[in-house]
Amino acid sequence: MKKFDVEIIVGIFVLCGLLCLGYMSVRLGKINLIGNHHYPVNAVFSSVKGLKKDTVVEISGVEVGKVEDIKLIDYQAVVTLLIQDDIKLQEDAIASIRTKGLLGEKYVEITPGGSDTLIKPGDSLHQTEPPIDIEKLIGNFVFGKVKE
Amino acid sequence: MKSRRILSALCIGVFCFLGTTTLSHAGEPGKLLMETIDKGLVVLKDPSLKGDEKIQERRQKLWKEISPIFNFEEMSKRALGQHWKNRTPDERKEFVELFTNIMKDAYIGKTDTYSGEKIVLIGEKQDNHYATIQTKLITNKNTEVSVEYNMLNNPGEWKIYDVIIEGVSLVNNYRSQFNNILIKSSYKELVQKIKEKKGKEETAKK
Repeated sequence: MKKFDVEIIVGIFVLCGLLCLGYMSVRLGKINLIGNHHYPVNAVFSSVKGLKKDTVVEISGVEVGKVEDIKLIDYQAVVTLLIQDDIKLQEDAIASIRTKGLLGEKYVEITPGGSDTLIKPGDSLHQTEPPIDIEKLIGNFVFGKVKE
Repeated sequence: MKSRRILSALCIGVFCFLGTTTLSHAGEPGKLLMETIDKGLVVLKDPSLKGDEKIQERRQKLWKEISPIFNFEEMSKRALGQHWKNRTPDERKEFVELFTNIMKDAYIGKTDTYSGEKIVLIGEKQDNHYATIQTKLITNKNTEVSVEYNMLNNPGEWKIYDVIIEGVSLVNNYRSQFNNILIKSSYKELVQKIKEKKGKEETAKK
């Protein structure tokens, strides 16, 4: 009788351990089990230098989605963004690739527009800003100075 | 000094397009853009309009040639962003006028220093009623500056609604500035600020 109790306790303990492991795998792996609460939006950039998959998408510094995919189509970078369902984007919203701090990582910032037409899932944002190439700007400045 | 020169060159780039640019691989919006800017360049190169005393006449003629290709209403709407919705038709009309004046004052004066900068067409992309025309401005010192024009086809007419210079969007720049002001203060104060700025510039000119 006593032995049976111990076995049950060990069994429950192992089960709890497995549940915790499962929970952590889902959380850490960012697997979405219960349906998709995001919708895709495309944005075409002339350059996405430094931007990586799963990077955050922000509006006013608040996270509203992530970068799902980056593809090269017709020599232009097409970025698929996954935006939370409750965030509505207007047709004239602007997507910009910005840097956190001076040398920090890249992220996508969306500035909402004023249009009455909202972006439907799968639509494209037409107004985009590529990342600013600081090295190139410094280069232009330095060469300018040397020549002058 | 150098940076001021580059800035002037950029601003000229916004309005000007060299007459010798290749028209062959340009579609309808690209062709229209180039034709308009060629007209602007004719004014800038016109010997009878050169010189400091002809500044006002030259600026006026240039504005007359190039302003039709800009959709100032769309630019104002996009620059005001989410705050546009809450404006009454009268306020909107007034804002479009103010914004048009901002554009005119900020850029037309910069063309005074035009000294033969070249602009080359790089490519053109069209997606339904949106088009992007990529160009490069080459200064006299061979510094290259990328200038991108975003155009929108509103019933039968291609017009510019944004200009992106070296990756910086003109509309987004104004949108974040206006938004910063409108978060802290009312729309009336924004209009007041724009009017004050214009007033100050005019007294400075005198």
